[in-house]
Amino acid sequence: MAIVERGRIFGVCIALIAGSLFLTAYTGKNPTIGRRGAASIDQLMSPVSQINRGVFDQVFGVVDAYINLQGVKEKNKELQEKISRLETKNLELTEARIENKRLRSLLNLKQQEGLQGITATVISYDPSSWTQGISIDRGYADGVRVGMAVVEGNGIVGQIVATSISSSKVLLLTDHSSGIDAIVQSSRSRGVVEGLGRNRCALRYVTRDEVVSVNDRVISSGADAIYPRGLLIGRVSDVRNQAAGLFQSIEVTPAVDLSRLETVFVISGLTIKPEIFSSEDDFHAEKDGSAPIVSSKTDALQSAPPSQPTKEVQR
Amino acid sequence: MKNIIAHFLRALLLGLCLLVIQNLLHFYFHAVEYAVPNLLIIVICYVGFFDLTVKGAFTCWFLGVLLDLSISSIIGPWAGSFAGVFLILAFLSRGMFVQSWFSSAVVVFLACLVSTAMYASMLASVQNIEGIAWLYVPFEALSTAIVSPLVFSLSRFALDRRQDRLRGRRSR
Repeated sequence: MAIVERGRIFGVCIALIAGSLFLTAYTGKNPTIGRRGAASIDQLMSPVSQINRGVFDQVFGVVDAYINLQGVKEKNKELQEKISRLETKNLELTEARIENKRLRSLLNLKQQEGLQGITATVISYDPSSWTQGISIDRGYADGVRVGMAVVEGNGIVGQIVATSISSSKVLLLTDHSSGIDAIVQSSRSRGVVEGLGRNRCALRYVTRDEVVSVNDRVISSGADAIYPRGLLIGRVSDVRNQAAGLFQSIEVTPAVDLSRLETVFVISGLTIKPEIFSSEDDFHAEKDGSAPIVSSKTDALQSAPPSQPTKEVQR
Repeated sequence: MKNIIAHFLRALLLGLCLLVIQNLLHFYFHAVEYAVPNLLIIVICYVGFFDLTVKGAFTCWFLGVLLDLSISSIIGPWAGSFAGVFLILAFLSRGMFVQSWFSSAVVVFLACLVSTAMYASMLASVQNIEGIAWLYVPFEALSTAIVSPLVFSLSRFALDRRQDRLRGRRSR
């Protein structure tokens, strides 16, 4: 390679690195541009991902069926065919049973909390282990908007950070840039649950005088205007009181197994149901606009839809 | 000009294909727990070995932007790190026996570690990266090195067009 060519490459690379640094700083402060781009790429990739997932599911199904049939292959062809049919049917039924269970838990959550929303299927995980995110098969056209909370039967999954027409990106609660205003259910201590990656979270800003124990349930406070109040985030798995510092070091294990997500529920709003009021008077008081607990729940989602679901908003 | 546009379209297609494969690997092997290969860094190494031109540098940067866009709203860290890796390869690859699968895999392993370090340092300027599980990084590099021969073949098929090769010979 000629020295001149090397010099040119060197100059171009340095310029590209400098440009990248500038872009990083700029998009770090103005994530809207990045989100638009991410939504476009997601829109480009989601049909292929969905088709591929279908194909892979079929392939894995066939491979499973083949492995299961290896033992009976030598016995009888007729019997083999029968078993093959039964195995395929069994696989289908098992899948249907698992899906049924999952959807029931979602429906149960929907009924208990009075949540309105959209059920979505996970189509892909982020291609890098540095970020914790997933893509779902519902987008702008289905009513999904940036800042909506995403839950699964057992608790919070994350929030929508970008939408395209038919798919959306969900930032998992374990991502480093995720933050949820939270309460420890037993002691009512407040803090912010931040992601640590790899299925771990930390509960920050809980002062040393607060009593927090292992296995305590951590729930959303609703103050961040993204997650409705009272949704389960996870359980305290470790509490350390360091010798110095104002706050405790608390680790939280998410209630949802984020590595095995298949169907999720995007919360688009809350329904005020008469069952959640302690008495009929409370129900009428809410109708007049004087029941603080429930109205704060609805305000959180309906009157102030969030647009910047980052830590800055939540602190 | 037409050739350059065609080259970048091919790079875009290759990048998207690899990202879809990477997505699927993450989906089926539960990436939250296990390290999955970074397929794009293999393409960067391929370009660093066989396309040491300004166009190659832009291809690397372009693929980095694509990866940035596909994972988060912050554009730049992967683009910068890929350009950095290309720069290092541009000055070192002349001294390597790049036709050997083993030496290529070793370079991919090292390139993966370097790009991750560069990515982390660029990301740290805008985001808190405290608590990241650094332990998985060597495993990611290892899995990337293992699959590198396959992706090298794919990259050769997608990026190394006959026309380009002929033009390369003529310029030499």
